[in-house]
Parts: sequence; structure tokens; C-alpha cells
Amino acid sequence: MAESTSRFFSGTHASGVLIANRWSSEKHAGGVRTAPVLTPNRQQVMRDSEILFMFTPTRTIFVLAILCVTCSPATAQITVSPSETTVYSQGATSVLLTFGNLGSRRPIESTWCGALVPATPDLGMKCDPAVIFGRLPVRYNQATLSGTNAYTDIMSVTPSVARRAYLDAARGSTATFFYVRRFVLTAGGPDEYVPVTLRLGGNGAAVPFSITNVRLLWDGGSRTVPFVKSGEALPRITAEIFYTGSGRLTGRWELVKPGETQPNQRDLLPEASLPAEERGTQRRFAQVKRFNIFLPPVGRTIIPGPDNRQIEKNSNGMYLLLFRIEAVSDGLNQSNLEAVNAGQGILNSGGASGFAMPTLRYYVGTGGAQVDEFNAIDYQLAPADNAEFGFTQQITFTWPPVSQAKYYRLTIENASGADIFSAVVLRDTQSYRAPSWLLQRSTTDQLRWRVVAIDSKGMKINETPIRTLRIAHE
Amino acid sequence: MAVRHEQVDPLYKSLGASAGADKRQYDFQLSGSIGEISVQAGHTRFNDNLRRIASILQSLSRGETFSVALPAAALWGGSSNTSKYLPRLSYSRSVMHQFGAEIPVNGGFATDLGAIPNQYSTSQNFSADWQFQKLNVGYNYNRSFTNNQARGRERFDFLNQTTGVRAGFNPTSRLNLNFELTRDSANDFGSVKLGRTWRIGPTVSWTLTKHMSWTAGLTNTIAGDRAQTSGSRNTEFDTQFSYRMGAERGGLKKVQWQLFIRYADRYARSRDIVFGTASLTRAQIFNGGINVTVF
Repeated sequence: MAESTSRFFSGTHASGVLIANRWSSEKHAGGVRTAPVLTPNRQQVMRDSEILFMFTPTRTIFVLAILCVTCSPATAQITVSPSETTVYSQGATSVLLTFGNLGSRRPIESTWCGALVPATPDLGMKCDPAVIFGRLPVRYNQATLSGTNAYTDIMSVTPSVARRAYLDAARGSTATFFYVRRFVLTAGGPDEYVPVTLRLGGNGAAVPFSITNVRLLWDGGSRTVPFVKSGEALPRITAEIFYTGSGRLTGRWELVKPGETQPNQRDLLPEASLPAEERGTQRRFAQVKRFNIFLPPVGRTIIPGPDNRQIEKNSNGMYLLLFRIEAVSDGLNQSNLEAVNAGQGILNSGGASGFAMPTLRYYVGTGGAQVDEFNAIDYQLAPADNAEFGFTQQITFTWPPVSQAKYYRLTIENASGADIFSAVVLRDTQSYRAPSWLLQRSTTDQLRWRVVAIDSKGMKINETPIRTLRIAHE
Repeated sequence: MAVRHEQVDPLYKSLGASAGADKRQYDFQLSGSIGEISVQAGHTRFNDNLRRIASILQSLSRGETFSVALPAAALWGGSSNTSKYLPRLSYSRSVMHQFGAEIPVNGGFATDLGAIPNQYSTSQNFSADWQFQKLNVGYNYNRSFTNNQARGRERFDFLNQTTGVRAGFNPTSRLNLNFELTRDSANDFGSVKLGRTWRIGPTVSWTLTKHMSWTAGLTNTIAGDRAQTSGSRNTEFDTQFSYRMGAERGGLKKVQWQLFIRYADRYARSRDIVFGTASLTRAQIFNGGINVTVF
């Protein structure tokens, strides 16, 4: 009986779904493990549910009939797809939801909670105020009205909500929790609450494929915003991606050139976060490279960016490198539009996220002036200018690294500009101990020195300012 | 040989590290090289739900990786005249099996056993690169197959293949020509849908003189599925001419100005019979300007 009740309600948000599922799962689990101890609130919810339904067909139909009577005659019941899904218990997960049969109702807020209570006198089941886990933050709210009388919502379960759900389960409650969206009638009337059931799991193949964080990096994060001369090589580009589930990451790198209109936040959303009619309408820019990479269910990957030589650097000004993600098929992150009366077919949303993708910025100009690694105060360039050394003292030169350098050349000249010493040092070394006879070679009381960074083509890419060494006569 | 053990407790959070919480992982790696040939093999196993909370799904994962990289000349070319035409080859293969340890109690899984994973994923990558004095050519092929064995989801398998060819030609230090062609195919067995994407992308960059440069790039991407229920075509063309002047010496060596003229044409068309959507966007952008750099 329980099985048939569960199937009967499948795909709707009516209160019977949750109760039937919960009852059914306990029956399945019976004899396998001891049922967890419920908190008083959760027990109360269960008791209410059991009293309300007791899973007899007569009573179920009776209650449904009452619910239908209280509905606005002009509005069908709002349904959602998917109506249940699994989420990562230790971090964020994003899932695209499609609500259908909106009629004249409009969406308001959404809430996560550990238990549901009847929303009477409103419709549906709403969150038990005693077990609220959180609300969808405004910055992650990418929801929009869409399609045929429908509403597309990106449910981004935040890490704090997942933590609370995990702790609740660790205390012995059921591991299911709920995402409830409230809809109101603008002309007045009862509100309608539509819950989605969420199960807890690890970050693996059971969880929908979604993007939870993206970091675009220059030289693995060692550079922030590069300033280069026209034609100079840019630092290496990588994208560090945190995700849930498993799937194919497909997309492209694009370039916004100086003077071009900047993309807006909606343009930077992954395509999977958009309803069907918005897909393919995001503004496009000059394409640099396409990528299509399989992501196994491990949660984190680093993918290489476009080849530095392929990225344009001819015009002076600010460039933006965009990371665009296309929607892919994922058996778990998809909405059945037909089932919720929101259109035809299945909307695949693998690779959805609740936030716009970050961009990578660089400037082309005279290069090096604004962010000059050699002159940045954080780095140690030694000895200090006008430092004094005796003939018996050791002199060690140190300088900061330059990312594109193949090797460094240290040159020392006397006050009249004549070279008296030079040394070549490989890229991984940023210090050089001068030979003991260095000062003895000088015919003047002062020496001048500098370090030049050379790239793989033998071109100078940066140099330190010239510093002076003074010779102390003991 | 390397052995690594990593355990991150449940609810662990750090601002400085990006470790996924509630996970125990073992890695075994074997690597070696003979001359220029390098080989790596590894085995990984990890699981989550360290506290074994009965209502939370516990997934177990087992993975194997293998990769080899070698210059073909090291195997076949020797020091013959033809050895310079032999490419540098690399191949990698990774297999992962992830499955649920058991049916969670009161976890909401009992009514949807298909939500408990049992998935094999295999990914293979092959690439060959030729490097000559003024020409470089590359080829790569990637194939991934997701074999879903979860109850009731046996049909929901995915096969993806990507093939790419690229070439770069630098006849002089001032002229740079690039060409790229890629073909992606995505076979969704569950939805019985085979989608393909073709992309062609030539670019040219020419520094005519010390002051003048010209660039142009075209990208054409065509996508569609075999049943012809959806399709799209995106074409982006950009060309730009720039002229740069500056003092280039003395105290004002960083003061310079640059005149540029740019034309861009963006064409995007997509249609989907199932969703009943169609869109056409066409934008032609012509802009020019002067950049002045003072310091």
C-alpha cells in the first residue's frame, strides 16, 4: 500500500509525497538498522503526518479533495522537477529546478529546513519554523520566470545549510531535508508552498554535476593582474574548478578587447543556469579556445587555459579573459518540463552554478610599470642602495623572481660605467655570492649593479633599478 | 614510488586549503623514466561519510591511472634523417569505479534506489605534437565513457569524444598564423541523443613594421544532434589594425599613443524544436580610438 501511495504522488509536491516517502523508506529499512531517534519536533511532524494520512486510499483522496477545494479555481497545483535530489553533505551543490503551473502566482522567498508542517490555511507543506537551516542568499538567486507558465530556479545549497543538515543527521534525525519555495497570488489569496526533498551524500556520482567554485589564475596564483608590453608573453593561465558530481566540462575561453562593451553578470552565468529560451542568447566575444574535459567524481580539477601565444596583446588597454561554460547532459541535474506542464522535453543542466563565472584581467601598455615585480616593496632586493662593504666582507646579491625569466644576468660596473664583472644565474636561483676579489678589481670607490631578467628568446623582460655599492677603506 | 594518505574530518573548513571534508584517501603512485620516456601508474581509493552516519549515503571509490610520454624518435627514429619528423607522443588512461556502500537508513534513498551510485568512468587521452623550426602541429583525441550501473539507471550512459588538430606557422618573426579544428561528440544513451560540435578557428597576426600591426581571427562553431531536433551556429570574426607611436627614449620613453581601428562581426543562431525556441543575434561592431599611455 505504501508503495502505491508513493507512486501515486510521485512528481508532485503535495504533502503526501514526503510522508509517503518517509513511511515507505522506513518500511524498506525495517529489520536492517535501528530507526534513528527523532528530535521532538521531528517526531511531532511524523505523528501529524501519520494522523493525517495513515495511508488509506480513502483518506488520501479525501484530503486531496479538500486541498483542491481550497485551491484557487483558476490555478492548478504548482509542481516541480526534480522533486527530490541528492546533495553534498559537506559543501555547496547547485541544481536547476523548474516549477510549473504557476498561473497567476509569483515566487517569493525560499527556505531550507529539516522538517515540514502543513501550511494551513495556505496550501502545501511549509518549513517547520523550529528547524530552519537557512534562506537562499540574494547573491545566489538566479531564478527567473520562464517558458510556459513556469519558473526556473537555481537551488544553490550553501555550505552552511549543508553543515546544519549534516549535524541534524548526525544527531539522529532523518538525513532528508527540504527546500521550500513560497508562491503568492498577487490578487490576494492563499500562498502556496512547494517543497523539494534533499538527500545527503558525499561529493560523488550520486550528486548532480554542478560548479561550486572557480578560480582563474595567472601562474598558478603567483601573479594578480599582469601588465605586459605589446607582444610580450603572458603568464601561464589555469582554471581551478570545484564541482559536485561527475560530468563533462564543456565550454570556451573568450576575450573582451579594449573598447568593447563588457559582459553583464547574466552573460557570465553557465549556460546550464539559464532557462531553455535564454540559452544561446548570451553575448559572445572573440573565441580563443574551446575545452571539453571529463571530470571524474573527485570534486576538484585544474584545467589549462589557452596558449599564451594565442592571446591577443596588440592594443593597449584592459583585456578580460572569460570562462564560459556550456550546458551538458547529466542524468541527475535535469528538469522534466513535460512532467510539470512547463513545456516539452528534458532540460539538461549539467554544469549549473548559482554564480557568474569570474574573469581574468590583464593590461597591455608600456609594461611593468604598474606591477613591477623587481620594484615591488614586498620583495627583497639586496644589498641596499649605497650599502658599504669592506674588502674582506662577503657580498651576496638577492632579487625577486620574475615569472617568465629563463635566466638572470647580474652586471657590476664601476663609477665610470666600465663592466668589471657579470654572472649568469638560472631561473630557479635568486641570489649570487660575489667572489672575494670583486672589490679589489674596482678602480673607483663605488660600484653600480643591477639584475636583468631574460626570457627564453634571449630578450630582456625586466630589470632592477641600478644600485650603488660603496667600498669601505679599512 | 609514492604513497599518500589523506584524511579530512567531517565539517573541516579552512580558508587556506581547498580540501574536501569528510574524506579518507589512499594514493599509490609508481613513476619511472628510461631516457626521455616517462611512465606513471597509480591506484587511488577513497571513501566519505567517515562517521558512518547511517542515514547519509557512503560512497566508495576505486581508481587506476596510467600515463606515458615519449618522443617517437626515441623508439623508432634513432639519429636518422627522418627522426625530426617523428612526433612527441603521450597517452593517458584513468578508470574510476564509484559505488554506494549500502542503502542509507532513513536517508530518502529506499524509494529511489537508482540514486545510489554504481558508476564506472573511463577517460583516455592521446596526443601527438610535431615541432619544426617555423611550424608546429598537434593532434589530440579524448574519449570518456560513463557506464552507469545504478539500479534502474543502467541505460543512462554517456560517451564523449573530442578530436582536435592545430597548427601554428611562423614564416617570419613578424607573422604568426594559427589554425585549429575540433570535433566533439556527446552520446547520451539515456535520452538516445547524439550531439556533435564542430569548430574551426584560423587566426593571423602580422606586425607590419615596428609601429603597425594587423590581426584577424575567425571562429565558426556548428552544433547539432543527429535527430536534428536542435542546432546552432556561431560565427565570430574580428580584425584590427593598430598604429603605435612614442618617444621611446629619455625620460618620456613610456609615453606613447596608439591608434586602432577594429571591426567585429558576431552571428549566433540557435533553434530547438523540442523546447520550441529559436534565436538569431547578429551584431556588427566597428570601433576605433586612440590610447594614450603616460607612464
